[in-house]
Amino acid sequence: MAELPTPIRDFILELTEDRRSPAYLLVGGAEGLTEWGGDLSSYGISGLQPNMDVGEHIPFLQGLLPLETRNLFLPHMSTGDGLYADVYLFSRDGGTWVLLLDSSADASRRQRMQQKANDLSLQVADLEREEEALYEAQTILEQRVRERTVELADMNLQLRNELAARQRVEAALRESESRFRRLSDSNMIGIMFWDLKGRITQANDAFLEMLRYTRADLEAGQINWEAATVKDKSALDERAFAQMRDTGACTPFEREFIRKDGTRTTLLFGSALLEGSQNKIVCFAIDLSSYK
Amino acid sequence: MIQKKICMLGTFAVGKTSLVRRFVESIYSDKYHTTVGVKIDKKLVQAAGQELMLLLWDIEGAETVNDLRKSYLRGAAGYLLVADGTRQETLYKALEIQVRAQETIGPVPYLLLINKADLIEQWSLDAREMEALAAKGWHVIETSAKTGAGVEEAFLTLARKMMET
Repeated sequence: MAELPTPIRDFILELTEDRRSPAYLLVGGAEGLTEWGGDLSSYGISGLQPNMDVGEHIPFLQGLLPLETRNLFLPHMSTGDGLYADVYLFSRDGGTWVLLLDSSADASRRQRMQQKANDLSLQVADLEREEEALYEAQTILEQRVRERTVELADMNLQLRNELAARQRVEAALRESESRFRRLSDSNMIGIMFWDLKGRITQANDAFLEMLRYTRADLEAGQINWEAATVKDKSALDERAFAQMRDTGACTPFEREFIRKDGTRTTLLFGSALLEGSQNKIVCFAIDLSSYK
Repeated sequence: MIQKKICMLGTFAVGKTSLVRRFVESIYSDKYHTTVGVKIDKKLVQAAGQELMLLLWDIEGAETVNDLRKSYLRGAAGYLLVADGTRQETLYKALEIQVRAQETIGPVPYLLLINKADLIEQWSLDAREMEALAAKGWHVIETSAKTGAGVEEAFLTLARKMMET
């Protein structure tokens, strides 16, 4: 570099002295501190004595002396109260010089910029973490939706199958009921329903005719087992009930009944428990008097 | 009196300054304040039966390993690598910084501190990597500058290691 003219060098020196509060120490070899100057107290350095071990007295010099390299630069060293110094160590003429220059303004400016940059980096990191968490949550949610959709599709199919089966059962039941209704309404045989309390709850015209009752008598609850039957002496009723309990139906047998007018008639009589019931019974009866 | 220089190393916002403040002044602030340059604190401790003055160099966070100024490391007798448990990448930076530190000042004692243990439910560290470090003989301590957990242990352990060397 070309040598600077004296006015320039002087100006730089004045500028440095004016703005950067230079201070210095000179440390000899074994003799320790040999010289110092400048506004060292503004950097928190005081109580210096000739030949003292500066490594012990000045914390930032601990471990740095003797200097292993030709120069060492410690930028922006905080000296307390918000002040910073650029510290230069260099070897010249058998000793190590320590030069301190105020860098508070530059450090403050840098601190503000670095704070903004770091805050921004942290915000970006937070956003990235949130985005990652959201992505994970979305992935889990989508997986659950897929699983639930499959479950719902399976359930839907099952429900459809159950509904179709139910519709088939209901159709079969309707057909069966229709057939039975047709049989009952034809009055080819007598049909009646009763419960184990002896109440005859329904009967077709043929059955009512066999016992000479009217439908009005039936609806008025005037027909019951006790009144319409001759007391069983041969234990046929008991066998029939036992059969019904075991198999749901009994073998048809001849049974003597009492008509409304008190006369007697013999009917071929069969009965079965209604499906799913233990006390409701459907019976058919055939008047045997016309065959005798 | 024996004096030893310790460097606090790690990327920015991992809690180096907070750990020093917790250890030296027993205080903590939630507000993040970026460190510029270096700030030196002192604390007198007992280690290996002797009084030892720790000179704690709280060095500005290095964004990359190349940003770590080697001159700050000169003369250090040990260092604490600090990572933030909630940011996996800070552990990688700490590992890179350790290599740079060892190249600069040699095999002096060091510990790895996983800081922010008070936020452990937010930690994102890979357990296998931590196990790998432990298998390599790394001394790892979980710390919280906020609660103080592990802080005293970390500095005193390093002090003891430095006195042993």
